[in-house]
Amino acid sequence: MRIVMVVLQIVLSLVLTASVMPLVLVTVPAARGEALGPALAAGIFLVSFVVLWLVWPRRRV
Amino acid sequence: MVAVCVAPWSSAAAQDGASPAVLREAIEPVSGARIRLFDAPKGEVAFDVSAGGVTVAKRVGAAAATTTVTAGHDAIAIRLTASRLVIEDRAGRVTFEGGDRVAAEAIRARLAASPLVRRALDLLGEVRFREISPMAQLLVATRQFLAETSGIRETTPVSRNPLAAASAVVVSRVVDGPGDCWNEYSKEAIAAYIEYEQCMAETKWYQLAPRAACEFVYEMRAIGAFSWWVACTGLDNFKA
Repeated sequence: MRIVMVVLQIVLSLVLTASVMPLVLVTVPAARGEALGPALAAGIFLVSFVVLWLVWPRRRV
Repeated sequence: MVAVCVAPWSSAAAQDGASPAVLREAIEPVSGARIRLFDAPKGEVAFDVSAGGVTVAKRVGAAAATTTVTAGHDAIAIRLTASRLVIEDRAGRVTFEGGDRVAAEAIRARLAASPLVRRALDLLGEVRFREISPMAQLLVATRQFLAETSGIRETTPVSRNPLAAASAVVVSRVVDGPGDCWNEYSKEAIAAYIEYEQCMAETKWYQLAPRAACEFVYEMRAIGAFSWWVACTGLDNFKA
């Protein structure tokens, strides 16, 4: 069950990253370069994943 | 000093910046071999396979087929034309023409003794194929050619039937060069966002259905473009 949750969090993070990246590319022209863009996308993905992981509802013990 | 004319598509030439454009490139995950197909004149095929410091480069044209194996500063080139077989390595050049048994034995002995040829056979034998593609056939033919000319018969079980072996080779498209995947993605993502903004600007805040449609189209385009970028960079090659 835990692995399913993690996979779901990863998928949601990817969707979030895909949705946010166009806005980032429009507002941050430097992100259009290959040097910064992929790193920024990876950063957004990681932040999304961490935030999702933190706010994900947990079963109370 | 190696007196071998290294083929212009080989790794050595690539280091000199003389390598032709790469049309397709793939990393075979089982062996870790990098397979590249180069831009070549019409009617010719040029590719190379490299792993573990060994590169097997091949160019097949109407007049000749040249196989070059390089490892560090060592290299051996085997050129086959309609009438002759020529081998060049650090020991010099040997030419075989029809009927010359002495030259044939000399060539076979030279190739059989060459560690480069053995490393090339090992490398080509480790590459797995998912399907019987033209590239898979070229690699198998190259390995078979090396095995036949050198007389090296010990083959791994996989190489006996390499096309039937399980494979995970996924060829990813190289658009024009490094970074072009991101450039193409950027263009599409920016276009999607601009169209989304225009779409939203054309609707009133209370027109919920049209606004939802704008958002839906934007999401699909954004996710599609991002997925394309992931595939273009080859990240999806890690799938089992």
